[in-house]
Amino acid sequence: MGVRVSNQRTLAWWLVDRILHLLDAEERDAVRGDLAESCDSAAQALRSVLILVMHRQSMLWRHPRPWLVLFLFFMPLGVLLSFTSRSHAGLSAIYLWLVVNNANLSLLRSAGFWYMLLQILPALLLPSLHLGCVAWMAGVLLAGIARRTLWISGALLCLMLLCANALSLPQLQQVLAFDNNAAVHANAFYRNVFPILFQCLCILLPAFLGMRQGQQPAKVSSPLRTLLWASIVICAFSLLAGISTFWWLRIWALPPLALAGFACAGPAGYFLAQSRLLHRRQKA
Amino acid sequence: MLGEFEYLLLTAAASLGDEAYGASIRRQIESVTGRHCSIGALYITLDRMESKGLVKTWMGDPTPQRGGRAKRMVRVTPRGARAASSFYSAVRGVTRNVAWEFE
Repeated sequence: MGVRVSNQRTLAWWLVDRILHLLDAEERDAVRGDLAESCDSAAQALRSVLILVMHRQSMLWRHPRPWLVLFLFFMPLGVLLSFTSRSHAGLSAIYLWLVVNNANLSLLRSAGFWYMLLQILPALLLPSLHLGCVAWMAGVLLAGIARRTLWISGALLCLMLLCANALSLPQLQQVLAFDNNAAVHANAFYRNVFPILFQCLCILLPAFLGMRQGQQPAKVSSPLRTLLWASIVICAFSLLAGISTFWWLRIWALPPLALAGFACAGPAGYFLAQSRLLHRRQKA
Repeated sequence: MLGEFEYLLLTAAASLGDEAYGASIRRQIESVTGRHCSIGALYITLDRMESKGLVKTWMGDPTPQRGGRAKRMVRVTPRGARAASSFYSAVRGVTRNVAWEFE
């Protein structure tokens, strides 16, 4: 942990260390040193560090920048991602239900079943991959533009995603009750639990990984930042087109015009640039 | 006018001189008052006092006793010394002719 010797590495000390990461590097170092010199218990240290971090964060949130970033960028994107993930989760739930409810040995031996599975897998996996890429890019950009308020902004983003999901539930239930797949959505798991699992896997996890990636010392260069922004704007437009009712907007979400493919350009460009940077450093 | 904790902090920093930093000030306050002093409260008060110009803080050199970690050093400014002196005079003045009795 770095604050105390190994026999005192309790969960509370681990938490203290994690929370200390919300402070600036210099202050974190000083506080760690002060804790190392003190005889504080883990609970006392945790309380002290929490007070300090909460105060520091409250100072940061007094400025307009974190609020602007949150309200103008992450809230709209979060809501868009949440609704899109629910829509994809609904589609995936139907196929999952079909496979799980009908799976038996004779079906698994049938060539037709595997052919159908190969046909539908790309249609199910690609939108999820695109969603994951957009969430990952959002995490990287959040780490870049709101570095000091990152984890609070991230927590607010998660909260907002879950709230948007919960708020859309009653409305969605009414719609689903009358559709052709009512049998699937009558099951509480496919209706309520699966969309949340889907959201955690396709949005929250990639966003968290993106935040961690964006926090690493290697800074995002200007061309790469431009690529990430361009990619995320195009993808956001594509997501918006996907849930729109206007045909002239909706066509941009349909193949062959589908812009969602741009989602992969951001992470691909990022990792390419990072590997080139690493290669140059190794050569130097 | 200073607060009680601010006065304690200024006095501890002044008495420690060049050895005044987060942990040492904390130890001094705890040994004198017999009360626990949290690092959070200490750093927040230091920030406030620095913004008022009562103390100056900077990052010192890392020392082996702290696992090679830097210290946040503290020095009382002339303005801080004046504020502490004024607080002390006020306490002395208001306490004159008062005898505290304990049962």
